Amino acid sequence: MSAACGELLRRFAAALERDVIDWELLDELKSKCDASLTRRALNALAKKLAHYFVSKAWMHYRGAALAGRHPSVAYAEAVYIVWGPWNGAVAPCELLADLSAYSAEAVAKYAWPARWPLLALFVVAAKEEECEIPDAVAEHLGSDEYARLEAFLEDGVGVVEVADREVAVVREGHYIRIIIRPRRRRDQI
Amino acid sequence: MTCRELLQQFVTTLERDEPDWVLLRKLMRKCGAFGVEALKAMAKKAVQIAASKAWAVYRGALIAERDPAIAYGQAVHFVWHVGDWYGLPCSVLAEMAVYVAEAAVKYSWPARWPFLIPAAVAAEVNGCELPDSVAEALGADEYARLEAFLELGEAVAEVAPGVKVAFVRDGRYVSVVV
Repeated sequence: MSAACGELLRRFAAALERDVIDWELLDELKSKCDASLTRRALNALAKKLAHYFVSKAWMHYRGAALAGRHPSVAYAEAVYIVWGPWNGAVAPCELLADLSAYSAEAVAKYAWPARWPLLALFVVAAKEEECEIPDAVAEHLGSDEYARLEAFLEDGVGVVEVADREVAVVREGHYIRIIIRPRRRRDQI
Repeated sequence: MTCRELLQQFVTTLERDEPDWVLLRKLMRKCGAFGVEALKAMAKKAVQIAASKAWAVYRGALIAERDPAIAYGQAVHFVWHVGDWYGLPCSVLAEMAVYVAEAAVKYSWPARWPFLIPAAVAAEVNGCELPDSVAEALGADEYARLEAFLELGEAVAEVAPGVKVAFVRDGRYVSVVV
């Protein structure tokens, strides 16, 4: 790594810490430096974005509870905040792996009713694009939550109980959405 | 024209809501401390405009019988976005915080302290201090609530009986939820 390229990467990372994405620096890295450096810059960007959106989602979920809104709606909105920027986007496997690993790392920091739905979009995209899901996702989610994520991939539907309602995550191919419904009584299941 | 005269001229254009950017650049380039004074005047004007617009939105929404929580949340957002709080040096951050506090007390808000959240969080994260005049302008009770929010990372403002707006902090990020 040349000193100049190292300096570009350092400046890019410093800007990220200030919540600034310096696209010109990224372009310069791409055009002048070794591909591995661009990769490191993109990895840092993926980490920043994943943690940023999960943080936003958590503040929304927590704030909604404080404001007296129904937690199921707040939770579904929080899941959409984490999915939002990536919904419909096509990402290369490396970026998808980074995003899912860092999102899982960020999700594990907070007390959610369930963690796996927040990761659902990334694993669906990985499956559709035939990418591998990094081990870090399972490590951060825990074995039980990861098993529920795998079951969702398989069945195309997964349910989380939030207060008196059910938040259902439904998949149809690479499309994915959330439905909130009243909790079913045991005799209805 | 002297730097003092340039500054006076710039302030006059600000008062007419027509800031003269060429003049500001000239002041910044040639006049040192006068340039800083011009920036402060600019910041003060920006805060006053944001607070005035925020109040108009809030008051208008109440008159139009819209949800007071949404209206108040929007008003707070207006003032929050007046500056890049983390990018400010401590001295300018302190000045901006005072302007926000002064602007907040001009109007009859359900709570004043939430307007100061980004300034207070940025001050804490950047290792700056907020001047005493912020507490003086807000009043002891409202300032105590701001401090409690900084400490706990979450708080609620009741904007009407039973209608709550929540404020949540996660490190350097803050959010308002209605």
